[in-house]
Amino acid sequence: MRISIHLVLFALISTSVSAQTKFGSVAGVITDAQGEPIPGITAMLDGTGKGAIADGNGKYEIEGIKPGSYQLLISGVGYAKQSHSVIIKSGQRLKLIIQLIEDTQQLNEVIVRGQSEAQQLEMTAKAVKAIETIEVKLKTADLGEVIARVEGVSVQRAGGLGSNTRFSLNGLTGDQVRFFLDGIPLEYSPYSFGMANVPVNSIERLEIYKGVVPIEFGADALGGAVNLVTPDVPEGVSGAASYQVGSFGTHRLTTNLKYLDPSSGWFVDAGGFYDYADNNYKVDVEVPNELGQLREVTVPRFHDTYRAYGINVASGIRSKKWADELSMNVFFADYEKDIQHNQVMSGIPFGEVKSFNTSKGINLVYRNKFGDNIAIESLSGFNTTERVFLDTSRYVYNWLGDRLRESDGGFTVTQPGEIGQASHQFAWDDNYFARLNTSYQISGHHSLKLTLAPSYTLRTGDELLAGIFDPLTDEGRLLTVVNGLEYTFNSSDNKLQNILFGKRYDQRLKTKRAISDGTGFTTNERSVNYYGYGNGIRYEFTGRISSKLTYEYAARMPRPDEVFGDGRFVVENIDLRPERSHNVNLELEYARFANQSDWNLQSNFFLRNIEDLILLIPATERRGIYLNVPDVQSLGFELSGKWEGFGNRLTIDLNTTYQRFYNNSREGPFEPFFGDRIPNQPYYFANGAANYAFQGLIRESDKLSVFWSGRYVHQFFRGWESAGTREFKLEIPQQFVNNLGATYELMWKKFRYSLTAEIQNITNTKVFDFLGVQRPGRAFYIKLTSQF
Amino acid sequence: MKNKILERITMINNCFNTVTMNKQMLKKTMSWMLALLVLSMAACNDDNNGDINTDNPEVESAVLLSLRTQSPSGVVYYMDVFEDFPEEVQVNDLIELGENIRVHSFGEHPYVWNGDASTMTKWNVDKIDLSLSQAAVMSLAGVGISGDFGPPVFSTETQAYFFALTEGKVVEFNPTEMTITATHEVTPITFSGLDNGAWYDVWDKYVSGDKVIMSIGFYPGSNWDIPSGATTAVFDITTNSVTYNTDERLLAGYETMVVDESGTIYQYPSYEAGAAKHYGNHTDAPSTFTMLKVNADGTHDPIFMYDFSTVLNSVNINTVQFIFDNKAVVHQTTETSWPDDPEGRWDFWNLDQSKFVIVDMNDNTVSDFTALDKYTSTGYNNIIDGSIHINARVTDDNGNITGYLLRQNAIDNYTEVTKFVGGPIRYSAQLW
Repeated sequence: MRISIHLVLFALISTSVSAQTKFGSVAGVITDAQGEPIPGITAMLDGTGKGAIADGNGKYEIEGIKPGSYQLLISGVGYAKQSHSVIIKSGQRLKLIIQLIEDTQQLNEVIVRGQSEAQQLEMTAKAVKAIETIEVKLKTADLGEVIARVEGVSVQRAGGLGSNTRFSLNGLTGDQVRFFLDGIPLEYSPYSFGMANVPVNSIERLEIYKGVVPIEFGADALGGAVNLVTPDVPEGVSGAASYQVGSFGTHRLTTNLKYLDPSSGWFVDAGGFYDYADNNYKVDVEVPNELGQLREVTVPRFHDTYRAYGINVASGIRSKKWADELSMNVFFADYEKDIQHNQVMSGIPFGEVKSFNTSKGINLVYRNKFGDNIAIESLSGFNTTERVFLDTSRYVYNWLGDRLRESDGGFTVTQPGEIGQASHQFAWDDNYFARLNTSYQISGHHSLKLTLAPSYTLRTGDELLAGIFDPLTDEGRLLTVVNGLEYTFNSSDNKLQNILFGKRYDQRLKTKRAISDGTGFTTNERSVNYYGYGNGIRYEFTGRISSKLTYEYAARMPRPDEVFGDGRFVVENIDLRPERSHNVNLELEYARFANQSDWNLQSNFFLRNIEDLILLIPATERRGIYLNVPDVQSLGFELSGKWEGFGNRLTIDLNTTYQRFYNNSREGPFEPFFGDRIPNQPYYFANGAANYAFQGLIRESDKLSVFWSGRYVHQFFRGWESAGTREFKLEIPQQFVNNLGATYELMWKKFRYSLTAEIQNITNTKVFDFLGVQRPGRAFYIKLTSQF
Repeated sequence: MKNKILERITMINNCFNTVTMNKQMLKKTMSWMLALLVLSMAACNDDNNGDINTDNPEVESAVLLSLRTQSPSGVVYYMDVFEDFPEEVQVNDLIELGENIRVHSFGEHPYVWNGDASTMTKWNVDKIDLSLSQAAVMSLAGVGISGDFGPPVFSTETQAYFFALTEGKVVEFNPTEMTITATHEVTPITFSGLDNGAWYDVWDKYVSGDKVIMSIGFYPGSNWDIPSGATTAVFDITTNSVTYNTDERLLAGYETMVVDESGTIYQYPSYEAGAAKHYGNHTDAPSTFTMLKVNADGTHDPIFMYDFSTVLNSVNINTVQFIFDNKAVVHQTTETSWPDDPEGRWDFWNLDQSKFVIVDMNDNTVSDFTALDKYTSTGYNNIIDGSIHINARVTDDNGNITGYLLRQNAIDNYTEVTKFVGGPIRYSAQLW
């Protein structure tokens, strides 16, 4: 029933969009004389400024064309130019297959290829890995799985869809890596409760900044940043929708509608998502008999449902003399998640513990150029979030999902609460941010950029079951300002780019804490400031070989929880210092493009030398304190390669990462474990993927892709590697997970449809990212995607 | 294992000595020496293969030690068995047990409670090389008990008990077979009118004949609600029933029992009781300075009552660490008033605001006690070879913890038995 509703909704969205179309388009495939598709060929509508570059399959498409007659100009190095007269009617999608003839006079010229925005970004002196989602958005993997395939990235998950996720970039995790959506902090979006669950379909490109974060993000990120880039709004009506259904009661729906009126410049961009998963995948657990003797059984998880939905609507004006863009974006999201077990999935499961989160807010964007040299971007936003944790049950459950002693009418415990003491907690955050990016083009080779970025957070909460004194009602206020100045130099031959920057971090924290007898309040204040700086240089030795050396001395200010505690499980540490890190990357890239096979090889050595790393140090099972670990180092090597061959029909991606993220402290609480790896983190992992495309199986524009992806993670220890004998050490075992699937793409009228069937974890391997917490086994998913 | 290594070192030394003694012979007959060397090496290699040397005698004594370390992923517990306590424990050689662990022992076996998994694991100790191996696992998940609710009580080879009195349950199990033999429904602990944050359970347990005497550990909630009197729970092994005894001369507290050298149990004031009385403004509540004596049947001695407030000018008593020869080592707050902000009370644990004194209950005199001043905190551990052993720890300014196991020679004289750099020592016992 739920599937039917979703399918109807999907169809309605598609139909309603179709009825609003006014502009026409021209699309097709460009081939050589043998019928082989040619990538990189330019198709231009003469006199309109509109055009397209043929993709890897020779496909091109020009959209948003007003009805009328045009000349379509086709050009590419090595081929004779062509011109075709075309007539575009209202709402028509004209299909044109073009065959080019080789121009032997041009064959000795340098081969020039069109570059995507991702490729252009990677060719700067920024330490960035950019990934386009044009292919992966058709598949069933979520963003957490997609991003985990990038070298240097580890994503550990405590279960299925909606589960807690730990993202690690070159060893650094949590708040040390910041997430953005179109340059705006991710918390100011419908996806504020987890990167992994952002719908891939809403993203066009991932930008992963490793250790060196550009000033325009205005962030105090220690280990890097991830920017999720959404598609731009083209002229006219466009949109996309996807629906995914599969194992473990999973349903994922995403929709997006865009409209841009080219005459007035008014646009609207509305999107939404709905996720639901029972997460009732089978796990192996130990269940006792009446004598207390354990036996292993395989049971479905019974209390792990995840439901989330969100909407966002952006609207504004573009392409005006006074504003390239002036827009407003409002958003709302609601999450609900059952909690099934403790952090090691052992003992007594939970049957009624839940968490609920809501987020809503608004963002304002203003961008404009003043003259030829000055550009200003102003971003600001507000959001308010509510996080609720509920644990008030008096029942005790077993792994079969039954209440113990149900036959007696239900066994209840005297002191409610399945995890510990009964709790019904609320935590509220009001967040504000603003950012002003100003750039000045001094000359063709020199430019300056200035960023001012204040942000402010007010945090409080309530424990409904508390008495007079409730530590959660404490107020925490945090003002952080990150300012930066950047100078960029480009050589005249474009072989050298250098980016030099400096940052200043200021932070002021204040808390107002209730005295526990209810007679008043105490306040705490502290302020800190630091300077940071960095440089990135990229040099292109030849057309095929380039290298990049990037460095940043970065700082991250402590967050309110880290300094002031949470009044319950985290103890205050007013003396906590900001963590700083010397981050270095040395990249070497080799790229070879040929008509029949393209190679791209990248290697990266990285070093993170961290001072005063902030870590939560458990003092007891239930209470911890954030402390500075004086010296931690992460040293590693990444290697990635991509090969495209057989006329770009076959693509193979491989990458591997080895990192040594270790405790280098000869003082402090970890001194006895000097030289040990920081525990509970993968240190060697590898990814592989292959894709083969069959073109024109039924119709000429159709494409069938068969794909495989795999991920290997080497075993790692839960605790310090030097502590304890090897025989009894707790370890997270190695994993090798394989996924296999196929996607069929077709064009129908102006719609591009794709249907994907995929089997994840095809070998049904028992997979653990955290000790004892089993992840889903073999799963089958189908995904229907439509774009227009 | 360590014994085996020592034996191997001894054997290698013997081999070397053998070679040394035959140096003169070597000059005369190289071939004989070579043969002897080959034979000697062969003998050494045989031993190094790890085969059991049936000639090795059993180890005469074995002591159990558990400790814990801090790591970014949690507090991790370890244990190991030694012939005698080493001067300093090296963490590399220990058995990693995981988090939320409590180690106990009975007879010659360590027993490890895993609060996350709700399991008790019995371990075997090899008599020759002291290597450890898991013998059996018993789970309490089926009776709905998890977490940390104090140590079990081992009565006989076939009778032991877990007490979950807040749920009105006593789980009887066979510590040899590691099977649950019965779940006794008993009168649960009930305190009415407390706020949600209040927590209570049984904690300290002492076997007295066919009775198990337990203190009720009570921790106030955010409203500072407190029960009116100190309570003991008494489990009768013969009837499998629990009775409660409350004495309103002392306010309820947390971990509130201590035993003197004769086995007499005392119930003493606890730190949080004083705070609850002050911040909760319970002016009519019982004293937080009196110490009571517990009879062998678990009831309170109606005559004995010692009032520390008559000899100490202190806002509160934190613990009574030991009682020996009718003298009590008392950890008291030196401040004379509570801080305005109750959170500030935790600072009282610092040595600057608290100190040990000896209260002579014979003549009501107070004298300094400095024997443990160098340690940040201390606590009772176990009786080993007839001597009280205590845990002690030193936490330096950087948060690094060094744990110590101390043997009590006299009430003010202690010997450091072993230490561990990296965390506190949790449990020790003599297995044989």
